[in-house]
Amino acid sequence: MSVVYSLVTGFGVFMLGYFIIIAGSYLTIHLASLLRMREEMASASWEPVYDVLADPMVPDIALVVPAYNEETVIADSVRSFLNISYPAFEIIIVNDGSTDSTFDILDDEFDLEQIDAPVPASNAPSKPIHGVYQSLDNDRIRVIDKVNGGKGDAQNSGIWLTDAELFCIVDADTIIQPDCLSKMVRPFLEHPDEMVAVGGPIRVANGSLVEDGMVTRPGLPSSPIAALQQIEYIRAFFAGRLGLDRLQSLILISGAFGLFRTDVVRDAGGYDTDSLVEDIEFTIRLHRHLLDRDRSYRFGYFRNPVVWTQVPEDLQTLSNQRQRWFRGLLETMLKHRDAIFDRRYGLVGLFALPFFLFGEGIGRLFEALGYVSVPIALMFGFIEVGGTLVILSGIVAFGVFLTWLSLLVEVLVSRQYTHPLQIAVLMTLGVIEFLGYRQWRTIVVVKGLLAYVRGESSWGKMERVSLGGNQRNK
Amino acid sequence: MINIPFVQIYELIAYISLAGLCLVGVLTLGASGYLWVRDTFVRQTVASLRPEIVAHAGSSEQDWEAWVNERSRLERRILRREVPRQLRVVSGSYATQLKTLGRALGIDERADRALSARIKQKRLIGLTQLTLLDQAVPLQHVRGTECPRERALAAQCVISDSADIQPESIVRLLLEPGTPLPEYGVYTLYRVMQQNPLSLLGVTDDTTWDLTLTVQVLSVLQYIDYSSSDAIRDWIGARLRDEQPAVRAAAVHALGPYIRAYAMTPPEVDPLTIVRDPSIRVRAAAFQQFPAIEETTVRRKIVDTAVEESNETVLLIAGQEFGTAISGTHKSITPALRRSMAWARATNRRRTTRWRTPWALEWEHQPLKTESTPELLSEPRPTGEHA
Repeated sequence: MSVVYSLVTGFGVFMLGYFIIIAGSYLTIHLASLLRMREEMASASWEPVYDVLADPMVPDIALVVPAYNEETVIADSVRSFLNISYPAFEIIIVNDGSTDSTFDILDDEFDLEQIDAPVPASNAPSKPIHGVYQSLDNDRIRVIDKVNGGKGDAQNSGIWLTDAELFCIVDADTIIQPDCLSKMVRPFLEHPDEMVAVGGPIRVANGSLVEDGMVTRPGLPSSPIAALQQIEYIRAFFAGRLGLDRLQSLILISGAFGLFRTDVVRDAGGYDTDSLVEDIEFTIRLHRHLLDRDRSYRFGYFRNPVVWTQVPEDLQTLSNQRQRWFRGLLETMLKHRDAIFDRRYGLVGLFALPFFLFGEGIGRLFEALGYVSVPIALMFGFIEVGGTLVILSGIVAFGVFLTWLSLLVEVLVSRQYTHPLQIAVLMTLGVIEFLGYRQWRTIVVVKGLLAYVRGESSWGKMERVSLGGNQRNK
Repeated sequence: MINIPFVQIYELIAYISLAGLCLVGVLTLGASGYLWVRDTFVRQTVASLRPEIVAHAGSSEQDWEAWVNERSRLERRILRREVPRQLRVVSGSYATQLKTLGRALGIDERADRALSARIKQKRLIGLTQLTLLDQAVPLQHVRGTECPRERALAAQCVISDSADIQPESIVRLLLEPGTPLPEYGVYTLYRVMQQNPLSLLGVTDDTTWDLTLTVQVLSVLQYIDYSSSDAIRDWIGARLRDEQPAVRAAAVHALGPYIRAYAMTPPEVDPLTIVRDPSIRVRAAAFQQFPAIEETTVRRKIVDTAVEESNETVLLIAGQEFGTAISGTHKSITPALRRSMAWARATNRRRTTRWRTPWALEWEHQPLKTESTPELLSEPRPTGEHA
């Protein structure tokens, strides 16, 4: 009995320690986001009178848009990108071997003509290019038609073909605010010698009113699955990344939207064409590339520039996406395991990587273990009900507390959802999340782990719905 | 049954979390309610005042002081917030009227007072509001500060008051500390030097500038017609010998206005040394700027160098800029150059000469896709999939 007691006590000490460290890290990140919020509010109060559009010295920006089977959204997306107000930008759509009519739609809509010459970017780390096309309707638009190689591969071919100093990675199903680039570029102009990458928040477009390729009235999704993801996005982008940025630990600039220096990215080798989550892998590698060379550099994250994306509204698609994210996270952590707790990588090695590994990775698996072991232990009377309820209520209260803290940042800084009723709905969703959705997500993570162990590397199928014009997205 | 160890600690965490939850819940809902009520009220007030402002601005009787005195205290407070916001988006005579309204509301006096505040943020707000009202700030207010943002805002503020611009003082204000400028500072420098390129001369002597600032000034010169000034030309020439490739590349771009004006490089500058520079960035800049050179022998030698170029990026530029000259004079060229020229012809798109030099990192010296990323080209990924 004493052996069992020692084992249980030992496990209890371990779990308590683990919980305190992980919860402390989450709390630190959320509090850092509040600090960052204060700084942002302060700087917004004296925004200089400066018009990027009038400045002849701004750098060129290439919008690189990887597209695989995006026939339902591609035309609307490109039209929305053309609304961007920035003096020097080009749009490079990379048709990554689509098997649907993505390319034909682009050809019909923008009157493409093939550039009749061998493509000069011969050293690009990407699959072969069939041809590069120039739009006769709008000379900002170019299309690369290439052999399918995955998202990172498609992004690389765009990055290597452009001669713009900066490139912006955008998913084909996103809507960009017209002033997005002119705001995003400012950190590069303020710190031209150090700024390497700038990320921005991504919003859930489902439920918002889209008119002429722009979100004119943000709304909450009617689908409960999309609405719950809304909460996750707010937590991730308005607390998570804002806080991580404040702690100089931003190791994820979303693959759906990010602005980068072209020469530095090329020098780092571009995106990993085999990665399941090319964005986090690339951001970590970029950090390491710069730190290994002892470069003074900055990554930025700005709450202002907003892009909107569609999130899945059915459980199967969401499950595929989340499994891929989890497999990708494990894969990336394994790849960069030598940097974890390595002092040479500063806060990235000592805080960000361990946080992602033990919080977002292994932490989820402990959660799954809890969902299985606690009911069994209760059923067989191994543990007392009162103590279990105390622990559960503590964990749920802490989780909801973090979600509401993110919503406070949303209310004070971002202000996309202004009506108190919308905030009340979001707060309620923050509680409902614990009544089934979180547990379902944990099952998905376990499936992802099993798929990882089996060596699966499938991306899974994503269904797109037209972004539409003058309509409310479902 | 086993008692759960440390349950009291979990209990404590639960209580603390619950307390925090209640606090944050009240704060979040309260803040959202307060801001919604406030914003709705402000929106309604502004909507009701706007027609009056437009009517008053259009009338012959434009005594804003009297108009402001008729407003309630709350309305004046809202207008003091709203007028600077509006001034960012309107222009022309309506903006002029709004500026007068702003002064009548006392925004300028408050901003003036803020300049003496000990908190930097207040000073920055004051400078921004004075800029919006086109009201100059005495430069002695900010001379002593090391903060580049404050100096840049002050310079912007001074040039917004078009009545009395002293370009030399503004340029001195911007450049004297020798530290990099924020984007609006560089733009202000550009606007001042557009009016008077020679204003740079007072500060180029005996200054130890940060590398980025040097590149920023050279970038501005790329857009300024300084061709009549030997001193500026000499200053740029000296930067061509800088050990930093970023500075040399920026200096080559800065030679652009001179080359376009005289169809040659300055006498003391040897274009062939530049096109043979070890830095890719410098060579690329040279092939972008040198097509305007008309002297036949020099052009011929530049073309000869272009034919020997090995870097793909530079080749592409050389092919675009000197393609016709190359094909007219050289029968045998490398396949890489032939590809670049074919691409240039097919795209029919010349690279625009933009601000491509402010990046002070010497990135061309980094190895491409070798030591850190061998795995990139290893196994092919499964096809037919994308998120």
